[in-house]
Amino acid sequence: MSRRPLRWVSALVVIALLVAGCGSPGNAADSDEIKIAVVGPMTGDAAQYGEDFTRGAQLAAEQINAADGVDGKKITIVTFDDRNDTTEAASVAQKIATDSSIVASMGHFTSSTVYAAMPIYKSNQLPLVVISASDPGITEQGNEWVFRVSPTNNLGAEAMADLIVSKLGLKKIAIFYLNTDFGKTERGFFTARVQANGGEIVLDEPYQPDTKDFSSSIIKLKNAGADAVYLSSYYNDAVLLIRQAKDAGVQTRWFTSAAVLSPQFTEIGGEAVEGVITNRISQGDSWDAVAEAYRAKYNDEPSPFVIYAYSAVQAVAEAAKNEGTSRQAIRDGLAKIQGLETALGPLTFDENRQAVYESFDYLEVRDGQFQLWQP
Amino acid sequence: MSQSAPLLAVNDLTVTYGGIRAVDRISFSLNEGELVALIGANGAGKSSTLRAIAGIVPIAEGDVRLAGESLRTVPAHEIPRRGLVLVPEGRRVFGELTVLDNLYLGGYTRSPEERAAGLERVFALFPRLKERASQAAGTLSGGEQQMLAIGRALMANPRVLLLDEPSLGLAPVVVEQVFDLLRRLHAEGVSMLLVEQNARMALAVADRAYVLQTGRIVMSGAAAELAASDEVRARYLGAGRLSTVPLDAPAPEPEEAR
Amino acid sequence: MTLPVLIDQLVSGLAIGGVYALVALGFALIFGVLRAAQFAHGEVYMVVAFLVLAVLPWFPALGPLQFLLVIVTAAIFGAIAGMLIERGVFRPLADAPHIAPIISTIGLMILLQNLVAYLKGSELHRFALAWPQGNVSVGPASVPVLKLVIFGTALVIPALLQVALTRTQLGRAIRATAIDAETARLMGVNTARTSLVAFAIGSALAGIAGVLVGALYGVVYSTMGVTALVKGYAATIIGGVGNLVGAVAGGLLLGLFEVFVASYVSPRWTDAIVYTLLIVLLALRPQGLVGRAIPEKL
Ligand SMILES: Nc1ncnc2c1ncn2[C@@H]1O[C@H](COP(=O)(O)OP(=O)(O)OP(=O)(O)O)[C@@H](O)[C@H]1O
Ligand SMILES: [Mg+2]
Repeated sequence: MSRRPLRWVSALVVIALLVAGCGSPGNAADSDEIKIAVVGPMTGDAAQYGEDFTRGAQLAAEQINAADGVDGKKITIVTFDDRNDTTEAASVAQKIATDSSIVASMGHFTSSTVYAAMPIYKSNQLPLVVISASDPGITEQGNEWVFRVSPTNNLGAEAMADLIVSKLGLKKIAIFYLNTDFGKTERGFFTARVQANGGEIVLDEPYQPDTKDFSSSIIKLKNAGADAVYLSSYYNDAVLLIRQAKDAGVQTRWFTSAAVLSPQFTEIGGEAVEGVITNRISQGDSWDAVAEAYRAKYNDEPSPFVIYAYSAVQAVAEAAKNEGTSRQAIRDGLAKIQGLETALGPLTFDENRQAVYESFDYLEVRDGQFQLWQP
Repeated sequence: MSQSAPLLAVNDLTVTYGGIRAVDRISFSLNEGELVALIGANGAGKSSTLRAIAGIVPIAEGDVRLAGESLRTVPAHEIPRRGLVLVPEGRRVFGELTVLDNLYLGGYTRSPEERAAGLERVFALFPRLKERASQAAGTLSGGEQQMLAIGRALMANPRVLLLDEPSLGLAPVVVEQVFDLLRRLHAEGVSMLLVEQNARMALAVADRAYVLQTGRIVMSGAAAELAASDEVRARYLGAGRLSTVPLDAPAPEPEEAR
Repeated sequence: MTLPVLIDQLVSGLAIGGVYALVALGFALIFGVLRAAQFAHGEVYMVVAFLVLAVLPWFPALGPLQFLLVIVTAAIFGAIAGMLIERGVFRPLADAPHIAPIISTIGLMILLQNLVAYLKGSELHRFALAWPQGNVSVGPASVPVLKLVIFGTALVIPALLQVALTRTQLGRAIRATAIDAETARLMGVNTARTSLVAFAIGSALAGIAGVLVGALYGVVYSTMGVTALVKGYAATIIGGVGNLVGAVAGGLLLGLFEVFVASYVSPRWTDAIVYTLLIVLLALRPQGLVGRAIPEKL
């Protein structure tokens, strides 16, 4: 007699779990908010990027909510810290996916963390919008739950190889790259394009994450006879490398991946990074408008990651408006976005759910700031 | 009063180790210029007594007075400044330091001028140490190390010198040299409290002596009288490792004395 | 390879090795006198680097004089930090089981690291000295003056320390305390005070190393102390179990070894190779850190 009710209860629990596991839109669709997870390094030495993500997403949410939200529903941002660690990224993704009130996620900073988290989004049927990780492979895996608004690193790296070798005529190139998914793939694209353009890689030097002492690599650079150096690095490594190389008397021209774009780069680098050239996707009027709002609110210069995060929220809002607020509806809505006006300019996802990019701006550090530069 | 008071007065001194009374309410005294011996078997509490006086084990009960002033609450490192120095059992020279460094450390409480004078006195007493001044103390022979330990203590120019088994582990010839040195210091007027298992030799140099047995003083008196007493002869001067050097053996001329 | 490259590599190795040497020397000095590992030693190095960075704007740009001022300030900050730690952590635990100060300093290490990360953020902070700058010719090579100065500092300071330890009464007292504290007390040495002084000197060395590495890398950051502790400890092991000359030699050797592995094997493998060799070394010398504390001669 006493066993029966228990059996009923367990059956109900199992059904409930199954329903939840299928990403039931149930309560989320009825809710009057659209809850988006922002996940990235909120602590540690990449925390600056996590803050950029959060601020960009918050700013978009505030502005959309001020204009009556998405058909009256408010957008809410919740942040999660994956500490830029692959193991942590997977477990945080799991945590986000099991919270049925969250209908979309955006972020994970590096390609390594995105790769670690991607399968979890797929199996839990939660859309993820990637806003920084740049390995092209991410959107070439047929994972229909993963979208990307930021550009792939082959684009920036190839544009840089064209600039250095073809436009500036610098043929002997040294490359330093962070020995991770991000650095290795970017190095691959850059090197292939340099060689295709008739340039020569005179030094090909990987370095480990958290390297602080670049002495031995710099000695190699000193003796490599390079006309130009390209860095596939984030800002902290790039700053250290350039400063230490200049301290060591190396004279060459410095070019870097777009990943260095951060106010910290010029702040820590000081006079050592003057003249360093990088590129980024071209920025239109809507970019400037968002940047202006950001400056007004935070009294700080926005990095591109702020704009990507902002645009990702815009894309999710558009998807929710057109298709509904369930996870499935948002995924379907995102897939259909064509020429949506966002902070990035017109946003279109290709068949791989990768945003389409065509033109680049070049930036030079001048007077302690990244400024537009014409080759 | 101060005229007749002993230089070192130990009253009802008790030393305990976790409840065990290693030294049990002993009283004795040392007068200016005297050489007093404290003899007893293994584990009788001789070292504990000296260490308590020098302040490196706590005084559980009783008191120690140096020239009338209590040492009871004086920290160990202050006691040499009051004029009392212990030459510890086993010599304890700083083996990795030079002979000179060891001597300088002995004069730690004194001014540079006093140290220089002290050094001259010690080198005059032990020419061997002068020869080996820059050598690591650990490379010296046992006898030389004992000379260094005593020389190091003399660097403080103490009013009272406590010596814990200076003959321990030394060859008979060297033991003779050590006792010869003690005689010499005694003649110079240094007040000394000497702990020895080698009772025969200790009684031969001392003015007075106390016999310690399981933490208590069981006998005391003039050294010569004690040496003559049957009980002491039976218990402490009988056959055994301590009596390898006969009292009446001719003392070899110590090298240092030349 | 070629001679200029070799000279360049040597100078780089000796500069970073000099930093390791100072850290290791301080660690060994403290260990020798207190017979306990100071796990927050790297945090002293980090905190001092941050403190000096904070006061740096007030220093006049007087070239070498500014550098000297930075070193002296770092030494003072380090000494103060060391004395606070000795009085606050080690002294109260003097009679506690051996594990107690170890656990306490590990706790202190975590606390200080998080405190600085909380106050200053966990990102890199720019640390630039006006002097030394530029390069100088050494034989056929042109090497950064900064690295030569760092190496020089890391030679001069241990030499001064050696003189102080062997030629002054306080130095003798510190060495005596390390060898046999009880006998040192019988000589009239206040061993509580010599411990404090040794701790202050050891921590001053860590502080100096902290600003040198800040100048070398051009940045300071909240987790820099961890690397310092690991490298300093490694140098002590290489140098032969906790003696002072060994600590300096071990630090320099470690720095050179790292640069040569990075140059001729790969920067990717440097740490792996260094730590594998350390484990082998430890296996061959299982006595590890414990051993004779302070040798007679440098
Ligand atoms: N630190 C200590 N802890 C516990 N017991 C101790 C300690 N030191 C000495 N004892 C004990 O106290 C007693 C007296 O020891 P002490 O060393 O004073 O004797 P001693 O007369 O000097 O002997 P010896 O001739 O062996 O030097 C002995 O029973 C000894 O075991
Ligand atoms: Mg004894």
